[in-house]
Amino acid sequence: MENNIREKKFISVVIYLHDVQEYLRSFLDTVIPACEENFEQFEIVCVDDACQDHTMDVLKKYVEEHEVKAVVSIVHMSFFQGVESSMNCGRDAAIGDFVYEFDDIYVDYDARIIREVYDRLLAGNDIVAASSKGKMQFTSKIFYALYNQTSRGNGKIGPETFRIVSRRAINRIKSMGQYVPYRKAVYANCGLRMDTVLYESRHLMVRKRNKEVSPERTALAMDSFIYFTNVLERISAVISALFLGLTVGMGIYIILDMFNSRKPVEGWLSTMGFLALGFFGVFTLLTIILKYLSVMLNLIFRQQRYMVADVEKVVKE
Amino acid sequence: MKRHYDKIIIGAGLYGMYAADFCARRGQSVLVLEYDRAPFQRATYVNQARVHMGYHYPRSLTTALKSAGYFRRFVEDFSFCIYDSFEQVYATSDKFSWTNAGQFQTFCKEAGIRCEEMPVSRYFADGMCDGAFLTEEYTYDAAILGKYFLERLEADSHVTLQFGVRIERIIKQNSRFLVVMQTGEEYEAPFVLNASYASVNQVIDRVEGIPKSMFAIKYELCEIILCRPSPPLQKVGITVMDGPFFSIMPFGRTGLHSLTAVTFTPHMTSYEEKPVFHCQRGFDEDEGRCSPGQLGNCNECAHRPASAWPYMSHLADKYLRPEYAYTYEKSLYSMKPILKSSEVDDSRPTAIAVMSEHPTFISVLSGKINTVYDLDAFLAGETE
Repeated sequence: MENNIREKKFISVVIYLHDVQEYLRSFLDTVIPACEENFEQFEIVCVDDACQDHTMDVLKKYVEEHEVKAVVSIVHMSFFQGVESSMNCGRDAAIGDFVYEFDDIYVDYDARIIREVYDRLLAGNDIVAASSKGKMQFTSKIFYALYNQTSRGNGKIGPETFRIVSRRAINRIKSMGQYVPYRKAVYANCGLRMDTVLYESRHLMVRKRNKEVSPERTALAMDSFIYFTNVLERISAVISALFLGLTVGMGIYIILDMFNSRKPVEGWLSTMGFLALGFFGVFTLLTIILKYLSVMLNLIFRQQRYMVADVEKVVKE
Repeated sequence: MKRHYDKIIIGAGLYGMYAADFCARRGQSVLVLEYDRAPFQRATYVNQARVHMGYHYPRSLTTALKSAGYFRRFVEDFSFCIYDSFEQVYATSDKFSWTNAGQFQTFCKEAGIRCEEMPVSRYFADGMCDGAFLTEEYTYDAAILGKYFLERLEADSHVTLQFGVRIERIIKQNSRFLVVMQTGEEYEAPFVLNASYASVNQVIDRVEGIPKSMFAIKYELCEIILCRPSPPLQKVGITVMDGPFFSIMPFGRTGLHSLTAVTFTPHMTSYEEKPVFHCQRGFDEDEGRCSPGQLGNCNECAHRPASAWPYMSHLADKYLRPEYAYTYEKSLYSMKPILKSSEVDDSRPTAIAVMSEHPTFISVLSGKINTVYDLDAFLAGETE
């Protein structure tokens, strides 16, 4: 290992932390030696998404005990804001040429993967993800299948354990809009080259899910459909078309009735004619409103969406 | 043989040399005791060399107003060491800043200091800052200022300068303070000024006969990087506010720029009363060169930390347009004491504590050069 040539590029490691005191130590034991071995210069940016447990104490103690050479800074979020907002914030704080994003600190991969994604990046990609070959959760499977079916962009997404992105990719997504609701999707749509490193998961056990994080991920999955896919637009279009068809059918039926010898109840023709016309108008209007809403959605995209309490550097004595 | 003086001043930084000059001009005999071999070897030299106008205190208007007042006086008194022909640009970071562009402008208006809006894109990369302002702020050249004071005081028969000397202890005796040197020499005076900055508590600790009320400070071992600016950067100084950002600005008249970053300039921190750092361990302890009881000069120390250049330069590069380039020249290190009470609202850059009267023992601690005039009232009030 000693003769390993260390890379000169400056690397930022951004880590999402939310009540993960059990996993933090083993994560740092994997990632920090891997970085020290491979990179001459790196920093660690920890995003503290309002941790309520001892995660921060574990972190500070670890830095002190192991005399970590790299600068370790902590971005404290004002209140729980979820992984996407928090990681956007952490990435904004990072100064590296390349930025590792660890959304989850559960380690089920070999430390070599950390180097492998970097090498893959240098081979001409701007975003490289590490992904487990292991079994996906059923709900995740449905999500990705449906998402990739209906996504507006060309990029296909899948489950990712962590990723590395180039400064170029970060600049690109920034120029696409301030607010990044779902990084994976934005990276996939930014038009730069992406790649994935698949690895064999070392553990088959499913890690404990955080009570707060799970519903947040579910909500994000739902939101992502609205942000990045046209699934709702399609559904509403189908419904509109269906009812439009029914209305037109009704119109035809009424016209046929007029020329028919059979006389319906007095006033039936005019009432139904009016109703058919009215509903036609309503559905046309709804389609227009839906279009407006999607435009407004894009405008809201541009707002900054996270609140920071403090940026702290872990001090060394 | 005890030598008698009107005033004994400990430390030949700006505060000590200014005080010596101030008293000598009033006909008092002054002794200056300095640990290093020359004046201005530590914090007076190793800092951003900024003559503060008050822009740094958007959260404390009173400090800003005071700073602005002293700025004029300092620039007038020491014009020979001031460098002012460059554009000093302050910008507010778009993210992580405590102050936004609008608030900064309002603050400058209230403080009555210059603040002209500039196009952000002229200096900064896309989306990094939400406002850029042309301000009035200068830089001083510590080497020129030090030479001025040294020549002036050496020529003055009232002043005795001793460099490279070690104080053993200071004893209060009736109406005098007796300063005992490690060599056994003794000096006495009814007035002692402790202007040793980072060693302020270490000196207080050596005084016998007064209550040992130490300053509540934390210590930071700081690094200032000197770099050579590209032609577009030569006539520009840039400071990004208000949080974990950076500053790159001319360093006196040296032709170099100083680069500092709030996060990366401090390398190590000590929260003890007296500075305790692991780099002091096992380093020339017999000689007593650096210990919690006596700080050495970090800038000359073999155990100084590795440069944070990769960090600082990457931070600055992320903000600046590529034409504002610079190359590494060298690093300067010094110990910086920070008053704990001044952290939240930026207030009180200067603390002056009268620790004994008749005889008088005064300790001064200040991180800003142009507040040196705060000393006047204390020095003038104690003539014999």
